[in-house]
Amino acid sequence: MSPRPPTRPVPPTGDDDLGRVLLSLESEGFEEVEVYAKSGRSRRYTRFPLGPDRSGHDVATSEEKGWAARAGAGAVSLFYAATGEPRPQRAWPEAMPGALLLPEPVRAAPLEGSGHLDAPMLAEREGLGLLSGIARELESELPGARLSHARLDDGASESRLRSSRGVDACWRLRLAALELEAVGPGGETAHLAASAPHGRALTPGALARRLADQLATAAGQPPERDRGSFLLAPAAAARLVAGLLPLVVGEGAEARAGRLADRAGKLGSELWTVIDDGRFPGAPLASAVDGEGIPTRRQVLIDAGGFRRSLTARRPGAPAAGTGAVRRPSWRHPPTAGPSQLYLAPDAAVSTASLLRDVARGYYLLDAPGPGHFDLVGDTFSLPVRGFRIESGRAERAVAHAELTGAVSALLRGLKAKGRDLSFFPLAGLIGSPSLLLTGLEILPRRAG
Amino acid sequence: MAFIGLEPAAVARALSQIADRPEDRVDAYFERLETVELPPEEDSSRTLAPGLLVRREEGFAVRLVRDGRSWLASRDGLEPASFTDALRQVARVLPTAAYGEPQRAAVDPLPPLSAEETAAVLEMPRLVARAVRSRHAAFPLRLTVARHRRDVQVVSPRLVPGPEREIYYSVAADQPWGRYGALLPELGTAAAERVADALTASFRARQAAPPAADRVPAVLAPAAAAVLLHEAVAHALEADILALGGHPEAAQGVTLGPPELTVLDDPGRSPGETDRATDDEGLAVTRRYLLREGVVEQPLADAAWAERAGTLIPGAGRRGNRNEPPGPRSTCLELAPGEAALSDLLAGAEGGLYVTQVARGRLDALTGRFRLAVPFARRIRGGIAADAVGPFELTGSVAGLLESVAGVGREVETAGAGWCAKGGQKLPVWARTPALFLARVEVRR
Repeated sequence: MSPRPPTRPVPPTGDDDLGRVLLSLESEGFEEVEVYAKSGRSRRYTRFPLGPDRSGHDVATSEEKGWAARAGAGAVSLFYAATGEPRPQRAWPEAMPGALLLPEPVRAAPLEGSGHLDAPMLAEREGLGLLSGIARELESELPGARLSHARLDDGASESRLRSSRGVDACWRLRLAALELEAVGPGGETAHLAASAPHGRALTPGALARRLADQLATAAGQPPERDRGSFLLAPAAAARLVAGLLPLVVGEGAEARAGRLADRAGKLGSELWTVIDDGRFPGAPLASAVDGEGIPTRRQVLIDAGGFRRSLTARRPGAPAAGTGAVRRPSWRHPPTAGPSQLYLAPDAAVSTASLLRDVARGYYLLDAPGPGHFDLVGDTFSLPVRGFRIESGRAERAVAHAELTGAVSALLRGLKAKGRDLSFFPLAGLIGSPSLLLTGLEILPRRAG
Repeated sequence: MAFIGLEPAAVARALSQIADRPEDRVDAYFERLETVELPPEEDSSRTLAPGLLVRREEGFAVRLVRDGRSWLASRDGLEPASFTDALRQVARVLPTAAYGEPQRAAVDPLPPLSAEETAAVLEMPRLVARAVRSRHAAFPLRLTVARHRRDVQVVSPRLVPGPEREIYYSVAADQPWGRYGALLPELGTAAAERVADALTASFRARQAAPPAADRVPAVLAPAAAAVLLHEAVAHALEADILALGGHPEAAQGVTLGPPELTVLDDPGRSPGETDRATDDEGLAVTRRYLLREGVVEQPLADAAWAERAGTLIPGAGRRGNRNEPPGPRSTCLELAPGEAALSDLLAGAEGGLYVTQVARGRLDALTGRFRLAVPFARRIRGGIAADAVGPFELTGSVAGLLESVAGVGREVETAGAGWCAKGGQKLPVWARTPALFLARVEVRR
């Protein structure tokens, strides 16, 4: 469903629930008013152990309906959210200091590639079948391994927003999210999170192989302190990109990035091009408008190593201009600026195999089993990693209980090549990266924790 | 405090229609929540998150448990038609049967926050700022204060316990040197002094260097001991966590710690207005000995796990919200006090660390290893807490940690152990604990 074209100036009308709330708040003296309503439904399938050799499952079906109003008058404002249909309140909460300035409406182009929005939700047999299928495939991929816990959420929602400035938008989202935990034959563990535009896009075989790969590397040994070339698969590389989000998201991002820039103003290698694209074709969070009803767009945040802009709620110097980068995870919370589909741009000409051939001696890091620690002020980072040691272009042995570490500036400057295998992961929004070839960093043993 | 808007007897009759096997467990869970939140005064995102935030929600879930499987249907709002719709969704037999809508019942409306209650929330940042100044410290306070109210009513075909209400508060401070959070049974000067103590201590330790990675003695002050016990005892003794490694009931009778270690969960003694007579499945809570003199006695179980395991007692079923099935969780942990004064514990831990705060904790249920993120601590020298050390982690296996308990303090403090987010279900957890002395614990930078 594409957003309705704005019809500014719009005198608010009480012809629907949102309009009635809008009028009610305006009649209380609020100049800036926004009313947002969301309804959704989701199915959650959970598989869990009932003992050493038996599994149980839960099936939960939820129907959600809630709304929220923001209202401001001069230097004070309020936020109110509730379940049900939007309804004028007899007594609104007290308005407190905090000026609210809503964005002006902007016409949004329809979203392309939104066919997934109409995909039906998984039926109970399909949902539970998917989880059983992953368990079976995992046992077949890696004998002795077992799926210890699995949770699949498959859901859809519709949102509508009207504001006193004339924004009037509707949008839909469709998302399936999966979390898996597995135990290997030697007791090693793996955790995998995946998302897709709908449940049928998740394939048991591919997911089981990723889990089996993780378990195989989790059984590896800690490395000696070492340097060399590091090839990071997308799952590990996306964790690096997520750790660098403060350089491109929120107030003060430009200053944070500036501290790491060289004399020419470059943050790092020319291969660093970071984009946030709220309309990424077919992506689960793709939408024509953002959480304030303002058109989303492709925004280049870092361009060939140079800082271009950060994701903020309003354009610098234009307090009533929305940016299309405002996220609204639920009706319960006020919107905030943040990424939708944020990714490091891939290089369509480079295959993973060719990147691997370039690693004469180093490490192929398949996975990062945690978020890591990024100190952008102190210019250091460490990321837990698992993978293989590479010698003469061949995997020599599995490496686990390790961390990739170094200066953030060295990480930014040490990007030597990138692949074409862009993949997204549910981290803060959806964060994507292709395989990355890095130098100038260290790998260390990580104490078991 | 009738709030469900439906006649409980009619709800019970409707539920009995879908329990078509003798062993079926069915229930309806109704909740009404209100959160009033005051964001920090100098919030740069104020254009998006204005003034006072008020969230009110109500809804319910219908659940059927059968033979290790459960079906749950939840809805926002409390309408008879949506109750019938949810009932139909959960029924395993005759899903197209015509279920009658339960009659509407009178509702006690959720009263708006009174002027006194609003004033208490608004006053809290000022009280904390004043308490910080009285400690001769000054730094920008970015304090979020929230009041939480939760009404719960459970109805099952044979049981309609009374409604439950919890009221409590939370504060969170995002400081450049780290985040601090606390749960409070009430606001006021005493609470503000406690928050100011913690914030000032972390401010003064903000530039301290972390300790070297090592195995050292440690004394955990009551608030830190509460987090440790929550991770290493409560989570480790939840029936669903125990089932990851075998049969949960097999843990009963196993010696996990020294005789000084007696740990209970007692939701009936949770502080302030958070005490409960029944759990989120409507079953009576108990004063549950998790560890009695170091031996596992009663792991935490909800009704389903108690039925499966036979020797486990239900009454510890909690729900993060109506959209989630209940699971075994602790509510208010107690560590039985020992006889040692804090000074005795510090004297026995020379060269070790005195930990007053833990930022967060995590138990890896599959490996049995825990991690506590400690924002700062003090080195113990000459029997007193001396110079500050910076952020580090305490880590180890649950078994190793409990074996290393070498002393329990005698002065008990009541406090929030913090938000627990197991499985994504965020719940407040409370504790009454004295200080705890660990002979050796692993420190990681």
